[in-house]
Amino acid sequence: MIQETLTEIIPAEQESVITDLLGQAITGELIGMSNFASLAESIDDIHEKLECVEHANCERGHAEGFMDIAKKFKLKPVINMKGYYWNAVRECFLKYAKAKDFIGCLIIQEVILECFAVSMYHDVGKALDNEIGKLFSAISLEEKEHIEHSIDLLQNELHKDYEGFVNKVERIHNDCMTIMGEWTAEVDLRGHCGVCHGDCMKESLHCAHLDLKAIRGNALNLYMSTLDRIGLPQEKTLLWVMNLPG
Amino acid sequence: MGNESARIKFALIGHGESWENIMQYIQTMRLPGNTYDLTLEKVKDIFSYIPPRKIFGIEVSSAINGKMHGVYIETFIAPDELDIAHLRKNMNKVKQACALCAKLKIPVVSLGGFSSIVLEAGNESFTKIEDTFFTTGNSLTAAFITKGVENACAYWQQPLSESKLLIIGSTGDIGTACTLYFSGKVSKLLLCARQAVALQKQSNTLTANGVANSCSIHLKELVAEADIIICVASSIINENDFENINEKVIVCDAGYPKNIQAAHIKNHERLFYGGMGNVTGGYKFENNLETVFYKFPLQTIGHGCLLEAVVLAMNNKFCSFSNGKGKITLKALKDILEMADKHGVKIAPLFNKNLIDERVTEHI
Repeated sequence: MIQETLTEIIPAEQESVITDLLGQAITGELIGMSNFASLAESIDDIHEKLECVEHANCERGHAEGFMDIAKKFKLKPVINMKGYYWNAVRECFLKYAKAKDFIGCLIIQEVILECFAVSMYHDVGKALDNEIGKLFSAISLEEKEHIEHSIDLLQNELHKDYEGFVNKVERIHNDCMTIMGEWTAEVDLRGHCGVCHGDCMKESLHCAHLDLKAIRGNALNLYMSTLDRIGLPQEKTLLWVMNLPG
Repeated sequence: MGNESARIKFALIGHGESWENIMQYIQTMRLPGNTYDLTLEKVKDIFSYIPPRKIFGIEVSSAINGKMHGVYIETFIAPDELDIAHLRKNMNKVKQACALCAKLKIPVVSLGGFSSIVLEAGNESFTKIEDTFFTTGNSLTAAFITKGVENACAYWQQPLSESKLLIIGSTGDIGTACTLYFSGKVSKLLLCARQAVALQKQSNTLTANGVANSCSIHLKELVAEADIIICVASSIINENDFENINEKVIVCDAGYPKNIQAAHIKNHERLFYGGMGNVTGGYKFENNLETVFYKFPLQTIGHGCLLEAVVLAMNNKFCSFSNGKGKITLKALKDILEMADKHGVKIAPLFNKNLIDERVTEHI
């Protein structure tokens, strides 16, 4: 009875786009989970290993939360970790994990991916006036804690070797943010993402009171603000962002 | 990094004057081999989402103390979003920029263009954050406007005492300072502002003090009577307001962004950009960005509002020299000009898109 009531409150024109939003969120969380699991396997430090497992479990919880709510609303999102963009993110992360580069992995997962997750979930949460929106908002807040947690650690790294750290973040930005830039571009620069169940959801975001430019802009704002807080040179990070695709 | 912070004596908070200007700057940031198409529309999509940040260092030369260093902080306020609809968002950006200056421990900061609004709104908490002082820069701007008008009158042989002076934006901070300065120096003041009540009050005060004046919130009603026009506000100018302007009228465009872009006036022969200074010792932006970011007929010209923090730093006078609205005194105008002059920061020569009075180049 409750389920019937809940499914009825999603307007028909929003059903498709919300399904795709959940598909992207679940896939993204599973990528995050896998990333941390891979990192746990590749690093030697016991404490870092334990922390990675904890983070992986946290992302698993988020993925399950999104899957549960999709089921509750009788939505069938596509979950495809081999879709172009998410697979590219995963391969990018694995490159650093295989090199046992804990800091590199942290920058990809806790800065780049979490900034996009926190900002986008927040925007979706604000736009959807229902239980799904509330879940997005709640997970956004949890993911925010991950960013906060990484900032202290990355500030220490910056102080140890300023130039080396800046160069490292620049390399990672070029590797990973380029993928995120393509993913959030106005048109699919690399073809279909493999997660949207039909045409690209970007064209229908307005049905859920969302605007791609604002979503992308807010995510970039949080990413740049986070780099600022870590202490990276602002004129450089601006230059990096200005060279992103899309 | 600590040493770098200690070396910085001033900061300038600002925003791009036009999209054309912004695009020229952004194109300089494109790395070789980047094949992604960067259109104006794409830049517009993300520009205002960029958090305020330092984008380059500045080196300014004082005539007596030599080189001094500062930084430029861009607010990333879009040039076409300066209206009331974006006020809250823009105010937040300016406040973020102020917080950044305090974090960088910069002693004195000018709030250029729109950004001065946080201080003009009487926001006392923004006159100082930790050890950083903020100034609107309006005193030096007003001082340069007044001197510029006097120079223009001399150049075009228009006797000031026989002239009717129209001040567009007369109740604003700079407009009020100009009104104060020219009271009794011209034959009549013509006052124009958006706020009818404040305008009438200003007019009544002048009348009570024996200053001939008339006022209107409709610019067109005053333009035909004017011999000289100072423009420090853009919101009250309509496209056809200047259609009956006499070709001999001297026009001082002192707004940022430039106020008078209407078709009837932009090619006016006697139009000059006011409120501008000339750093005779010169200045340089990091990576030679002054050549794309801040182009004037002389590469020593700068906005009075921005130069105020430079002048204060040159004089080791770290304070909120200009804040609030309507508080600029004749003494403040005199003092800031003297402080500027001592270090070789002079009034800019008459110029618009081109240099008008070229005699000044002989002295540089």
